[in-house]
Amino acid sequence: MLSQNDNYTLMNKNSLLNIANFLCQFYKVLIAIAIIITTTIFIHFQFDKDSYKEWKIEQPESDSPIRYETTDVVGENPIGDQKLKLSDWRFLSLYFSYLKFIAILILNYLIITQFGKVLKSVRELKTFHQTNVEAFRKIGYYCLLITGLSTFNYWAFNEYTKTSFSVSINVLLLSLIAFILAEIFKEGNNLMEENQLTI
Amino acid sequence: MPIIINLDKILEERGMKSNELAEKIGITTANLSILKTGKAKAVRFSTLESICEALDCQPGDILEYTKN
Repeated sequence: MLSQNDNYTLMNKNSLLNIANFLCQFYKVLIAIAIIITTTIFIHFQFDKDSYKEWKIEQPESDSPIRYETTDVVGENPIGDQKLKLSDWRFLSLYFSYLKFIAILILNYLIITQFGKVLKSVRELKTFHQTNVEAFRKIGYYCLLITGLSTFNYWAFNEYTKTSFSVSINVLLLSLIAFILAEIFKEGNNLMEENQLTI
Repeated sequence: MPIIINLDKILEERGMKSNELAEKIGITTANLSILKTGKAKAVRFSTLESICEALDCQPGDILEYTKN
């Protein structure tokens, strides 16, 4: 029979957990880099709009295959070479999009951090501790916040404006799954405590 | 909980210390403390058997039921 120490060593050597842990760290670094680059460009754009005259952007496509969307478009929808010019981006829409994007990135970072904590606890054989219940609940709330933030899109350029409301079902489903996992881990925590308090 | 553990009383009667009993029945002093303070949620028959054997008593001497 394996002792607690043997199990701990096995969990530490578990390659699946190690890969997941590495991916978490890697994704966190990517998000941090994305935040820094976006903020740098955003600040520089305020001072020197002319440098971005040739920069063109595409409208973001729907990030979720399952979503509900209503759109209101004013102006001609640019296609092909006539992509939207970054320098034409209106002040309010620019700030709104920047803040929304950064908030979603930060929420993604927090979700990965919470998931990393769960992975760490599994490696330390503390899978059904109360901290994991709280971690999954937080992940659920963060996903709800992301859904809320992604609901309204406002793209305003000099000759083209698009406002849309959309609900991303994918993130909502993730939120639901996180809350269900929190309940499962809560039940596991109750069983673990009962087992620990059986003498 | 209406179930009271009278381990302290029996230990005193037998002139035995907690750590001595813990060693005899093969559980940690921390677990014995959980049992004595009434924080335990359940007691295994094997543990009860070991306690009765070590203290030369009956389960009824250790466990007592009182109405709330």
